[in-house]
Amino acid sequence: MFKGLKIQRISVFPSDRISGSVLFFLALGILWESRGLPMGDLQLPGPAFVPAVLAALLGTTGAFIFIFGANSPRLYSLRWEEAKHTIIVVGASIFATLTLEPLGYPIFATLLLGFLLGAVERQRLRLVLPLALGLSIGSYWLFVSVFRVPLPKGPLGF
Amino acid sequence: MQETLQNLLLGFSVALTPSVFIYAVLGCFVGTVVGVLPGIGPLAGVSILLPLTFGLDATKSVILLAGIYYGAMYGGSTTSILMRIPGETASVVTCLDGYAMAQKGRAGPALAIAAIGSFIAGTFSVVALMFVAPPLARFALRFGPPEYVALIALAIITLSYMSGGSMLKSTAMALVGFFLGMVGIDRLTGYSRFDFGLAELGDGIGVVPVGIGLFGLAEILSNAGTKAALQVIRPRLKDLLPNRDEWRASLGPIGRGTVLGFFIGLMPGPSHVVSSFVSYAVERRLSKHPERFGQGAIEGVAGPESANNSATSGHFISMLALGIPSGGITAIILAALMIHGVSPGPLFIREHPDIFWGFIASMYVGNLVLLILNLPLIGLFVNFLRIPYAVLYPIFILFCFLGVYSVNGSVLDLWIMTGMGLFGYLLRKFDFEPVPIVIGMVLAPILELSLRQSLIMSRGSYLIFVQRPIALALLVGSMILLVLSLMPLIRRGTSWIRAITSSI
Repeated sequence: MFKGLKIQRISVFPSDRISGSVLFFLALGILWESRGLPMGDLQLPGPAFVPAVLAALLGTTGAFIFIFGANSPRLYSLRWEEAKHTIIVVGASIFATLTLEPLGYPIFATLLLGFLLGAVERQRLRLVLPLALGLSIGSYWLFVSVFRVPLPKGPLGF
Repeated sequence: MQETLQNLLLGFSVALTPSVFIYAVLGCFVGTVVGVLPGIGPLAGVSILLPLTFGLDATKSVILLAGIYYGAMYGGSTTSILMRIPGETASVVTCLDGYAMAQKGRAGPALAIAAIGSFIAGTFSVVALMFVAPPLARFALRFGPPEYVALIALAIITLSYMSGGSMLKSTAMALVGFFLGMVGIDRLTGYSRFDFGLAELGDGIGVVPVGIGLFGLAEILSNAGTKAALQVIRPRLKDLLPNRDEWRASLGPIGRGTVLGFFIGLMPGPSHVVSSFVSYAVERRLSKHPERFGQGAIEGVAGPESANNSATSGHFISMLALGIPSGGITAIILAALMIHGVSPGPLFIREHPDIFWGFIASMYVGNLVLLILNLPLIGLFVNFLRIPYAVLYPIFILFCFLGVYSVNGSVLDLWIMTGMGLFGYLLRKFDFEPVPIVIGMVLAPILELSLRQSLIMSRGSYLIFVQRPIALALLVGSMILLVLSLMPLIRRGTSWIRAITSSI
């Protein structure tokens, strides 16, 4: 319940206030990360000089977006109806990133296409199976044999 | 003049080599398919299809990607006319009169005029590109570090000004891009910056994972779950040719759209979108019967379609002659060239005449190919519209992964792409334009090096930027644009807070 209330509170914030704050804190983060690097001076600027200047500009821009963003649309009023689908696709992308090298490209590609086409989009098996297998094997052949791009092989040797 | 013609002959000898020519045709075909498919614009298309170029040399790569670009620009008009769904943003205006013509049974002439106007505009603008780019590159040889700093400032301010949304937000995105471009080893001192101890980030963050994430994956995330039922008006091939009145009405708009589009295309930002809107407004203003616009006036198709294709060539000038990309697509094409070890800039035309002139010649060839390919194959392209997005997007995602992994074989790049995809999705939600990020990233090393070198040259004095005439002129240009962007504040008086958030 407490968590629900928190989300509700955030969702009534103007969207530009949120993005302005994020940019401002990003600028602070850049300055924080630059602290270990030599700043130099105007006559001989060091590696932290330009990032610090940019962070100052970014922080100022973020502050302006925050200050003038009071009338921007509230977070809840932005259209989020595809968000569930988006989360699933992002989840599939994270899974794909984790499994590409351990599983090898052909298995990874078949699983990715099979999951998105079959489980997420509920396409018929007679479409999913040939499409997933055909595209993963076809693209593997194209990139490895024609474009000479090395793609990872899985534990089964392909 | 004679030298230009000789160089052009060299270009044609490259572009008409069968092994190169096939890539111009392939690029136009694939680009048209990309333009036809709703939910994937030219920028996402070029980003996702970037991996196709990895096995090719630089000439074939740039010819293929440019073909995809102007093919997509053309293809976008097909869906606008037949379905009232713009395949890409520049075709939004074409929906108004193109679809109205289609409803009156004049889909064929609308498509034909769009194709012919695009061909004429494309050809004219390539001629102009051919004559403008080499002198501009020679002029740019006079540029030192202060001029480059001023030029980048002008490019970013123009991009923010032209992007149509909030100038503050576009500037913030360019700054984020500059920061991303500074990750890795500092070229002047060898210090590692912002790499969080990851050795793979020593070389910096690649433009490819960021570009594919922000434009390819983010577009998919924004459109995933789309289940639109598509109603397509099918034109008959024998009805394609416009009648005499339609020809007469179209010639002026094509000419005006061509000239307007080229000059607007020179500016950074979404110039092809701006050019189509400006052309539509001009044609409506010049028309004796402005009330016909929106009801199926062929001038409303001919002008904007010519303008957006003409702007496409204009867009390439600053990338080829100065090494400064003027938009997202040119930034991706620049990245593709850099992957092949070629850096566009003032010396590009002199050092790689075969690539530059081959590219120019391929644009002539590509415009002709588009005209020959697209009208007879319109039925085939319409069939692509029947493939549901639910089937297409998983294939696009696979291509995103394939493309990013192919560059360096790095899993870290895949994480960056996924993160950037999510970031790009949120940027769209919060009404931020992602294009300045990639442009900022590409320009960051030049900006940083030039700024630091300028300060070293002047012993720490910022006056160096106003003491050199070219740098001063560029900075004055930037100031004028800034003042122009502040005009709404002056005009609107009390509503200045709204003005600063919506117009600046």
